[in-house]
Amino acid sequence: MTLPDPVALAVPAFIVLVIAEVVIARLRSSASYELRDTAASLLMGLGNFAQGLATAGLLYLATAWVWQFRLFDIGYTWWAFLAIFLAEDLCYYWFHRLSHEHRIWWAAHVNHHSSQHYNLSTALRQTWTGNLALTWVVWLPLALIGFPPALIIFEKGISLIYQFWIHTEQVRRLPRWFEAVFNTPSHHRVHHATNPRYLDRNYAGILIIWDKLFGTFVPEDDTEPCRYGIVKNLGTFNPLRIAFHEWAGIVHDVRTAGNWRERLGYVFGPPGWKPDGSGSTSEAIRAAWRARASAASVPSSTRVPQKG
Amino acid sequence: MSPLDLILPVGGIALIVLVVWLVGGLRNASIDDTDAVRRQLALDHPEFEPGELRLAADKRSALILDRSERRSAVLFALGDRVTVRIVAPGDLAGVGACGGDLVLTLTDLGARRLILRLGDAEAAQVWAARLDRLLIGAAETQGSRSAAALAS
Repeated sequence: MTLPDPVALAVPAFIVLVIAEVVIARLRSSASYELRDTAASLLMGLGNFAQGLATAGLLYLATAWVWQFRLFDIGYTWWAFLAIFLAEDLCYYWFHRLSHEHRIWWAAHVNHHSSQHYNLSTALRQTWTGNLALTWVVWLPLALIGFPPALIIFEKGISLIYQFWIHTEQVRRLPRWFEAVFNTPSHHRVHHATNPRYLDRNYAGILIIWDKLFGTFVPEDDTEPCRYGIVKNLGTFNPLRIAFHEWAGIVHDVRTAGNWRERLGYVFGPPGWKPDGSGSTSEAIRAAWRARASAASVPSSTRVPQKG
Repeated sequence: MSPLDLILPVGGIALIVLVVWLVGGLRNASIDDTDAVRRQLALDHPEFEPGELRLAADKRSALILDRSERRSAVLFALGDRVTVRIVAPGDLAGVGACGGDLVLTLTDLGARRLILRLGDAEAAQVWAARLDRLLIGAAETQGSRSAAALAS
């Protein structure tokens, strides 16, 4: 069975929708788009497209190699499309969560979060180094189970297209049933925010149920607007620096580390990790925020939610 | 792969950039007063206790020492947003004065060079010497302490 490339088919829609959002944002007097930020995001998208072309063959070969050891012959039955929808989305959740929790994958993913704007062009600010960082291994179990490689790649494309439209501030809330099941602009705004309350939450691709299941869901609070970007915001619109700054940071830290424990911590520890425990990791930032909130005895409406 | 597969994304980028420019998308933030600096700091780094503060003459950046004088914060405009960087010992690779500009070189490739246009050569030199002593000197002291600890 030959499946189409959904992303290639969606490119014209991406362009039309970004232009529509630019115009709508302008009419609403919202400072949603800034020229250099938008150009940087789009060039990151173009670079991602180019590296995708360069590595697609190798990824397909790796997936096909694993598939020869498959446990089941799933094929292209109707239920295979349903099963791959769920299974791929679960893989995406874990890929995404690991990309935030371990610096070696964060280095590949950080560029997607590096804009202080949140609009449809931000969705295209994609990685240049994810394939080199081997993030695709998260999807290999799908081939081992027996999903055909072409079906896995097709579903990854569907997921990417779904996640495009949720990068917007122009849609506030969708019907309650939809917000309960699917990832939405509201849920994903939280994911891109650096407010301690929101930091490293809502990893979902299409279904928000995974975050609810694994305890990483936080709803958007209208009393606390999202502040977009990363903990250490960049001082550049240069796509090369955006793509490689965290890799350079890893190299710098590893070179100056005193021993192997520190080297491993800098590579595989959480972003912001420091050997003496003084680093601004997400957990440290959240803990400090909780302590401040407790000390200030905040009103119940803004009280810190307890985990679990 | 057809030529259209390449032409469409490249043409799309050009078109989007043009539309954003046409609707006035080229904007620059300005840091107008010290209250704005303190507000931004309180929002982004509430644990930072601002001490001495210096606004750049072009209102595009500001430098603040925290009360302990063990680190500083640099606010700078990036497009239409204001960004805050905490600069602690180890983050600063070099600092110098160039005319009325204070030039900070950070170890982070994502914000390598920050230029604060103070518009005052003497002030730039004073701040450069101060940051050199507080941040670069402190990092070297920490480094030599670590080396001594390892050697022992």
